[in-house]
Amino acid sequence: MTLINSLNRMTLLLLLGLQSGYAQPAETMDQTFFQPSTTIGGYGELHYNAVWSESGTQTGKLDFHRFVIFLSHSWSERWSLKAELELEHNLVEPPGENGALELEQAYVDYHLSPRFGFQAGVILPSVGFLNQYHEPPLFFGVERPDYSKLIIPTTWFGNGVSIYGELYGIDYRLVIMEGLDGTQISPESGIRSARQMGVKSDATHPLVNLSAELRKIESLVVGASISINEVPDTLDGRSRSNRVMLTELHIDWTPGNFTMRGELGQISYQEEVLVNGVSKAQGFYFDLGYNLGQRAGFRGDLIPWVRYNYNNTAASVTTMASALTDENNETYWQMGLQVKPLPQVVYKVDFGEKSQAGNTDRLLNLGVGYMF
Amino acid sequence: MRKPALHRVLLIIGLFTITSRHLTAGIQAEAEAVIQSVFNKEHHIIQFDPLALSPAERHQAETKTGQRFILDQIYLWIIYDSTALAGIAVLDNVRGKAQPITYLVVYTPDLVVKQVHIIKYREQIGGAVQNQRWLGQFSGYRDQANETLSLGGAIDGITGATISADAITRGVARMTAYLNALNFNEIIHRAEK
Repeated sequence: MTLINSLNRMTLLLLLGLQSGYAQPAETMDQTFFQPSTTIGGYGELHYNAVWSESGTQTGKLDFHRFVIFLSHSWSERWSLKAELELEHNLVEPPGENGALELEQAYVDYHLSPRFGFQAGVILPSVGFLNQYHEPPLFFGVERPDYSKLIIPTTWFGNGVSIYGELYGIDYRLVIMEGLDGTQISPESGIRSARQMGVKSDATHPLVNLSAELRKIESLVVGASISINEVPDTLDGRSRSNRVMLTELHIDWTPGNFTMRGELGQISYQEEVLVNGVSKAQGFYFDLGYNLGQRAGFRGDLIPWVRYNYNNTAASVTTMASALTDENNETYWQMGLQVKPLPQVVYKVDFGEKSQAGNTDRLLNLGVGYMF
Repeated sequence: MRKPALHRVLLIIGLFTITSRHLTAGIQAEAEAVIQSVFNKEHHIIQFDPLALSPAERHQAETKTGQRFILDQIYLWIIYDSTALAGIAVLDNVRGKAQPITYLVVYTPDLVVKQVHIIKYREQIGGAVQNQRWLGQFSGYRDQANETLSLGGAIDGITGATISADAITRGVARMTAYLNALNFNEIIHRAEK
């Protein structure tokens, strides 16, 4: 078996070697249409968040939530660097306080053909819509859906490698990256705090993420992914392993002026004893919007929308931990308006009611965002 | 058992990509294959050398559509049938998120868009702009004095491909505005110089 493995590996390396050395004819036209270049892009968003709690307190905050610079350099059509640096909350304060400076992406991309590419560096696993596509004009609501925080911990990034491409009309991607920190998984926030974020990450238990997405049908995107990680943890001073599996399905359909988007996901923990008795977290959301822009004579998008969001980071628990299910059960109704004078600029307003653990808060959010 | 399975998958992908037409076909060959497919076989295709952009018309088209030309020239094919001009095809670049996108616009002699094709897409994301049904929205477009194409207006957006879709929408509008400013006879005249 070892010999077969070695032969397979050698054959693969030989093929890749042949590929990288494969020279296209030096056609003047091809050279004209591609020149090595450096480009920048980015996005940002300013938010106003007001909360009226059931207990009678009221808060209102202004926050420049994210300022992101995207940098790319292409050495050739196949070889490029892509990097993204993000400043959160406008100021970097000591660890544990507000604000963060994060290197969310920094990888070398080898784009051999539309069917196959290879990336290595700080990368994003392909999980749901927002982990890879989270620029403000691309989603309804000032804040990202709670689902994209509690079930899928966007933005989820880390050190790793991936292969990607399109086969038979399906976009595929396989990611092998740093795993989760088992000591930080909790009933309240799921795997969100367990992300290692590329900081001298423990590489002994890599996470495997496999995704597939259908984009061939105009106005329809359907995708799914599975992420598996044998997460190291300790219990009573003894080492344990907890298999954590995140599965999700996402659909976006935009027939005519309608937009319908839904995501559904579940995290399962093999060893619930390591998560205070929680064996599953579940959530979903559904958006419905209608673009009134053309009817209103507006040169851009004018989209009123509604959303229903349900999340429970302790959806399934042992009998001893049954109280956690009620404490972490969240439902959130929202309605809002999205105004896009340009595809890359958005003004947002939304209002909603969020219920959790017997309390209901009313929330008003205003925002402006951009991408380029 | 899992590791050999992974190797086999990688091996198949490696073999598959080595046979990919994208490795061997140059931009010119790709473009001419598309032009052949748009017109029937009795048509004669003549490719001219790169046509330098005319500064005044270039500025006019860029101002109108809010997008600059990346290249200083365009590649032009003129298609004749047995008796008359059947159309023209123009190859150009627009800037995607990080890489250039090479696209071809085929026009009737009246400078109405007949078809748009993506000849080379170089990015991991946003590849849905190559969908021929989405590109079909450009068919029938002609330049108008006070109007231009916009994403979200006459052209539908694409989830996960906003920057690429906007770039191509503006690119088609920009090219059409430029050619219209020259007019067809002027294009032929310049090309034959």
